[in-house]
Amino acid sequence: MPRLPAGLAGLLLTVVVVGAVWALLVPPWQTPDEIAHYAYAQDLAENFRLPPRQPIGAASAHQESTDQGVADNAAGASRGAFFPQTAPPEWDPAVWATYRAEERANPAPSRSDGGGPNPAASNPPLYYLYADIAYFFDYGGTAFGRLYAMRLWGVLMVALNALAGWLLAGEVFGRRRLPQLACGAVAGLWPMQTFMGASVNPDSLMVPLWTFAFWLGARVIIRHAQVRDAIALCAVAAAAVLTMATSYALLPAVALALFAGWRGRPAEQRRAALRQLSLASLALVVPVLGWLALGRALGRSAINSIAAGAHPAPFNVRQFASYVWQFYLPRLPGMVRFRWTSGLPAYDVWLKEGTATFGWLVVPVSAWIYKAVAIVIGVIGLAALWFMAKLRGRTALWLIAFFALALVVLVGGLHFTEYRSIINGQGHILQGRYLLPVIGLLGLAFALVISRVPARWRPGACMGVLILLLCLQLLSMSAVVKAYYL
Amino acid sequence: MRRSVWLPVVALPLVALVALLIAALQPMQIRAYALGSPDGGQAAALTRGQEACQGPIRLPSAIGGARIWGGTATGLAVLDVTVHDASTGRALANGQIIASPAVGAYDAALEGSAPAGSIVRVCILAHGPAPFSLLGSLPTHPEIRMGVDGKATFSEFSLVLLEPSRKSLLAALPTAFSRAALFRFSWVGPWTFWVLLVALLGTLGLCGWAVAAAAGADLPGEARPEAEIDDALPAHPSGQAH
Repeated sequence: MPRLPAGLAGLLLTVVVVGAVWALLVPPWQTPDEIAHYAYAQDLAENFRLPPRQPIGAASAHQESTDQGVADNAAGASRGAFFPQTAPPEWDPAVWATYRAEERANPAPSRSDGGGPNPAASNPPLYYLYADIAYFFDYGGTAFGRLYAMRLWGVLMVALNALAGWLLAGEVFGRRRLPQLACGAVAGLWPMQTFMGASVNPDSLMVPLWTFAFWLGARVIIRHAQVRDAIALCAVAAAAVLTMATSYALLPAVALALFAGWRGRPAEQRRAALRQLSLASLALVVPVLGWLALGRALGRSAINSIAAGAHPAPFNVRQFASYVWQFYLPRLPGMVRFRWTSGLPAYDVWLKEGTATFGWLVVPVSAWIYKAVAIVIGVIGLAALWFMAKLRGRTALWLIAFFALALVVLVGGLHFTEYRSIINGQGHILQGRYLLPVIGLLGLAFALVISRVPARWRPGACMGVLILLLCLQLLSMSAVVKAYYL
Repeated sequence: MRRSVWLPVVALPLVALVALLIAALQPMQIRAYALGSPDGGQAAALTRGQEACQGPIRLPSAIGGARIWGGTATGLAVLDVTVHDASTGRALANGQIIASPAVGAYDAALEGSAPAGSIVRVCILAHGPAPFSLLGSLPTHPEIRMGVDGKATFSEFSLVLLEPSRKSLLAALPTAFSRAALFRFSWVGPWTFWVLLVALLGTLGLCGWAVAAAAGADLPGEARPEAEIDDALPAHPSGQAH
């Protein structure tokens, strides 16, 4: 049996500790959309049914069950969701005691009378099925016990993301532990990733699935599409699609990886390989088509859709280009303003919200921390681009194309969706955490730079990355403590 | 162990620890009480001479300041904040706020004594010149009433009462952990967060160990110590474990 490398063991232990702190520190239902996701998971666990997006007939079921509603009300969760300074979670031990007495009453608040219209209803059920395993860990306890069990269960996903980052760098750079450690650390210790991973949210499962897909895609390209790698890649991509519709953005890159791996085969093997890979792709096609068919049979949308507003506008290419321009660059005279953020949207959304903005995206860290992170990412990004520009090998170029395609399709899809939302009068929808599926690529950029640092400086550089991540974690946690508890 | 390994592995966590300690020793205001009314809407628009009062509120501990949310449309507004004994109406403590058009939180440092256990009403008296938009929400506490110039309103203004003295984050951790221990698993208590804090600080050492182990595994003699991406690739199809 292969031994776990000590560096990886140390990293995973660190990630588990940090993840457990996030899971327990954040007040109940104070992560993005956690109220809706918990309600979805609870209804699935209690009634084994999927929640509707819209009310069905004259049914008047609520999104939350009575059990969740009583707990939510006692802790002040919904009330304070966007207002931690004025409406922090309930601090009074007497209210907690009253709640527990109510829970013990006969009959206890119902857990199965939720299942009403739910904004998370368009999500496929895979994550919720995973979370529901933990739902039963503390089934006899309170709603809070069930919620926190699900969060702690999510920590496993954060650890798996770190593992996937380690494997990804190992595949790309070879068995080089320091770059692998740096890549795994970025994947597992990026504050927003740990925070989201340790919350009740399908992002928790989707992000490691993407990172595993990057690893497996790299394997398929480098090892010339071995059948078991291709099956694993297709299965992971299918799992990602069955977790969140966002993961359809992964499919072009998966197709590219399979094609590149197949092209890498000697010419005389390609015909046979094509048949094998076609069969392997069933691991992706069958579950996804199955879900689409099920969604159709149940009258559910299997992909996220933007509802048309009162005055929907047609898609306009020039306007879309203007919107994208303004997201990344200062607005030029004559451009219609698309977004209202204090600074450049790319900085405010991707960097600030993607790094460390907690609660319902209302708990920031100090402004200087974002600036420092921007500088570090900028330096690493430029250095990584410099090193990549010098690569000439065919396999390396296929790898770059694979990673770039996943990134471009994800970001392009997000902008396309937001633009449509804006012109349909539905407002802005982008959040920084939507970039977390490509956190493995950020880790890979760090790993690339560390792999090129002179050997004697490499341990220091790697340690620097880990210490910066841990400091970022501790500063983020202190921001959460101040916002909710002091 | 080589110097290029042990030096950063030992020194960087120590430097980080000192820096974090310094940050955790900065004094800050601690909330003694939060009414729990979100600052999502206007609870009252106070013109010169108008007074908004809210209570009764039982103080869980002594207070030294009050924080409200709001702002003016243009110009400045001077506000008196007074904490009254709810039963006798006697003023226990008071302070002043000068509000500007910047909508946000305003703190009044209170002079006087409002001890723990007191049942109080908090009043905001506007002196103008600009009207002050006092933020709050619909009532969230059936037992607490808000009124403007003695007339009941169907709203509550957002209110936080502050501890008498500033504390560092480090000194305030017992308070934070006792608050965080509520509404969790039944077995969670403040001790849980102390254990997690120790474990969290331990990760600084754990990361050092991980880096030392990784550096040891990457020592010269490894198959491809200076592998480039391109160079590394031909070695892979053999199926080396990662």
